[in-house]
Amino acid sequence: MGEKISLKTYILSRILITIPMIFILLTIVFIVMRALPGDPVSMLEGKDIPEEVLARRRAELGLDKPLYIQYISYISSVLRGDLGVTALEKVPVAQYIAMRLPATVELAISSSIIAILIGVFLGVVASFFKQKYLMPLARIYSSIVFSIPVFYLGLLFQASLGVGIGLFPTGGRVSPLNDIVLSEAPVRTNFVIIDSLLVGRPDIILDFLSHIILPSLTLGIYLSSIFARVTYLSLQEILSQEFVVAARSRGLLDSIIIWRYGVRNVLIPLTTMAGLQIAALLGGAVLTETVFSWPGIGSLVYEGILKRDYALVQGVVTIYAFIVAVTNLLVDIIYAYVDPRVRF
Amino acid sequence: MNIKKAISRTMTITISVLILIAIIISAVYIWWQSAQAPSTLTTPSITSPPTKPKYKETIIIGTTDSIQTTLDPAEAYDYLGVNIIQNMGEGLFAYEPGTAKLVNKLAVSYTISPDRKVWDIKIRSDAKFQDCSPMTAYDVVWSWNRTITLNQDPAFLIGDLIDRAEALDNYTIRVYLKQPFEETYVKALLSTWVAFPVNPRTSPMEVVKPPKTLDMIGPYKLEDWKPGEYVLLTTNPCYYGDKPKTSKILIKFYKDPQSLRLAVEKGEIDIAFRTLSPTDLKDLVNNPKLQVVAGPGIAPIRYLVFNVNKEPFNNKLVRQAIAYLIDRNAIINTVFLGKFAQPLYSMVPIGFLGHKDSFKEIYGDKPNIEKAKELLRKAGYNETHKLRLELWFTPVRYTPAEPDIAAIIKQSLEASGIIEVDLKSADWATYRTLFREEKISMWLLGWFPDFLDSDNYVRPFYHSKANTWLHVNYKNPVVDELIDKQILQPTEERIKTLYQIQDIVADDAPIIPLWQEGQYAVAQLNVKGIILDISQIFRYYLLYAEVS
Repeated sequence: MGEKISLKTYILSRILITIPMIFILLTIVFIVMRALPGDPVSMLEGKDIPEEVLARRRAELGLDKPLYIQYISYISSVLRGDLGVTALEKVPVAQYIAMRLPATVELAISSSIIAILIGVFLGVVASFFKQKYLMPLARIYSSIVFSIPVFYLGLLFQASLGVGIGLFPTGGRVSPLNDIVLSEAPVRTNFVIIDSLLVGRPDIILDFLSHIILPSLTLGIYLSSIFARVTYLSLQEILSQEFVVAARSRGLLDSIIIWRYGVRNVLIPLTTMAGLQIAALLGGAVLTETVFSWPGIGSLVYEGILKRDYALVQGVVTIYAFIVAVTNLLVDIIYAYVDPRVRF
Repeated sequence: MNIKKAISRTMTITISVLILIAIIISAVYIWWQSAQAPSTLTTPSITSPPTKPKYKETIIIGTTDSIQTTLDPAEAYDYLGVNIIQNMGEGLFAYEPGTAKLVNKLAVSYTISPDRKVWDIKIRSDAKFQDCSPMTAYDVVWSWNRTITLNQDPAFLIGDLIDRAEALDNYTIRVYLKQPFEETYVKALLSTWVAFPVNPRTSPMEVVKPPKTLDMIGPYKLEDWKPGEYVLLTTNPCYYGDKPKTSKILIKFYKDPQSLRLAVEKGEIDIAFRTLSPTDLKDLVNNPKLQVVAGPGIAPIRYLVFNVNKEPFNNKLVRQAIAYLIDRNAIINTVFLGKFAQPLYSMVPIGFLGHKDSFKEIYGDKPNIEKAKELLRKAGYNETHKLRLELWFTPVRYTPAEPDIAAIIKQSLEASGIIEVDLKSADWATYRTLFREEKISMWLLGWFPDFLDSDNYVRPFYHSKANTWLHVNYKNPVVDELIDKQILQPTEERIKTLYQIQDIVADDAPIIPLWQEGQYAVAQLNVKGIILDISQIFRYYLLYAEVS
């Protein structure tokens, strides 16, 4: 009972902290975006559009008003749940995010699974096999993979598995024709698996899986180096402790020692690491999304910055901050479940 | 030792499971590849004799372009948005495919008053909007009024042309021009997308936002639009003209030229159009599985701008010296591999009314270092007191090879031994701000025409009332007067006036024209109907792909 009240209080306090955190972040982004030269209307310039038309556009976007008025106006619309519209296209920002966020979620989940599986596997191998031919390889893997720029890794996979052997498509989320089919879903969730089932075309799921493999491998292998390192170091520390020696001396089977004491204890730092990585991935992997033309929010916010689309960038950052806060909270809850010693 | 045994057993099981999973995934993948659901290709009928080829139902066009604003003809001003509108709508006049000739489209005939200020235009009686309601002269006039009233970015194209218009009856429009403009000039403006009739019964008096557009008269209509991802067009069942052979056109957006190239090479798309790098084009020309279709290019033309209010460019001798040093052939041969662009010696492109190679006549077609040095010395510079310049460019907006182009120009100018050049770059929004605030004095730009008339290549650059957007600060009353005069003159006199303008501005050299790029589409071998002409309109309605 005491633990439940404590967890509830903890969750409430985290939610309360999240709100000012999001507003501080929004303020920083607001200032930084306006510090950059140019504004959304700059994208139209370079043609002989009459100055009065450009001035009117700026006025419509409120850009002719003092900065503090623009800030107050924006914050009050966010408080009303209105993230605004993109500057030139006039697409609601919330709609844009709803279109693109599912793609990012799909990529985040698939690459996280690959990262964790490969990383934990290699970390366990490195920790226990002290034979020269295996342990150095695992350590070398971790160092090399992490030092390769992720976009280069993506290009390598694209060139070899996509173009060279021709096993997988080189870009996009589904084949273009299947895009048309999915557009006919009665309700668009923008998650390919769900929409494929809604239009009665489960074969599109396989098309989608073939498209997601290369970007997931790229990000997954890149991040697996972190998980491998964390797993290796954590296991080394745990298995050198006295309680492990004591357990072995009491005659406990090695398999029990490893799974009950070793791996379970590794789950704590792994959970933290996984949570942080997933939160980062949900913000969008700009470079990977660009290489593979993956329509996620990473490339969306990059486009927004280039176009100086204030509402778009601010909207994406708001959602991202919310995602990070929720993910961190979930990590803490899982933490408490994995480690009964944790109290709030 | 025991630990190792335990791990060995666990490892063995794990590895076995992973291998099994890999085998299952491979088997499923191979099954799926071989048992692909039938595509939406049209299959030939087996009940009738095989007399005519059948066509693919959907053609997929990949592009790195994007729609900057909306698909409302009263607002759209970017290449792709306008091009899509040009496949969904029509104007009174249009360019005949493959030519620069303006022909009647929705117009049937017209008469011009003796003072050239009043046009009476008869229009088709069989044209219908997408809801199959008939188009009348009242609809055309309403549409023009809508464009002018909304006064968005391109509204001036007809706003500066038309004083007022009225429908005399269902099929006759009377247009009162603001000035007695030359005939082809008027037709060119009335052929632009901003003058396309839209259905007044369904069109609001405000800009229509994505993912919608307006009901127009054209071979295609908008079926679906996912901003940033794709646009899907389907045939308009109420179109009065020939139905396209291809039922659906899917325009898919790509983030970069590399992805676009891979997509067309792998057959994921049928056509790649705008923009592949010259190196990619060179490789693709040699790919036997693809075809590269080329066409004359005037969008963009590329040029170098000086702010003539700022030192040292307020000195004509410096500008002329640079004009003598520019090596256009080095740019064409190095960056465009000798074949994907042409040197440009006037802001009026090759093929346009009144084009004259004025820069070539004055400065030659090869660098003249000695002449440049002479001018620089007269301007007070020499080998010990060098002229230091900054050359600005923007790396992404025009061509991926922009940094290489800037490097070649730097090299050309430094060949004089008297000039030193620093290269600087910025993304477009920053770049635009820099020259708008006149913080830079020499920069590279490109021009996409609004309409196909020589006026659109002289007025925005050289007329002191129209070139304020460029911040070149060039003011020459003689040139202003000549520009105002040429659009009111009959063709032969107009050509002579255009020659005069080009000679004067070449001598003054506030802007140095550099090159014009060709247009290129890379397509699968079965795709036909790709016509790239001087109109710069990519006509999706002519495309088809035969299937056996």
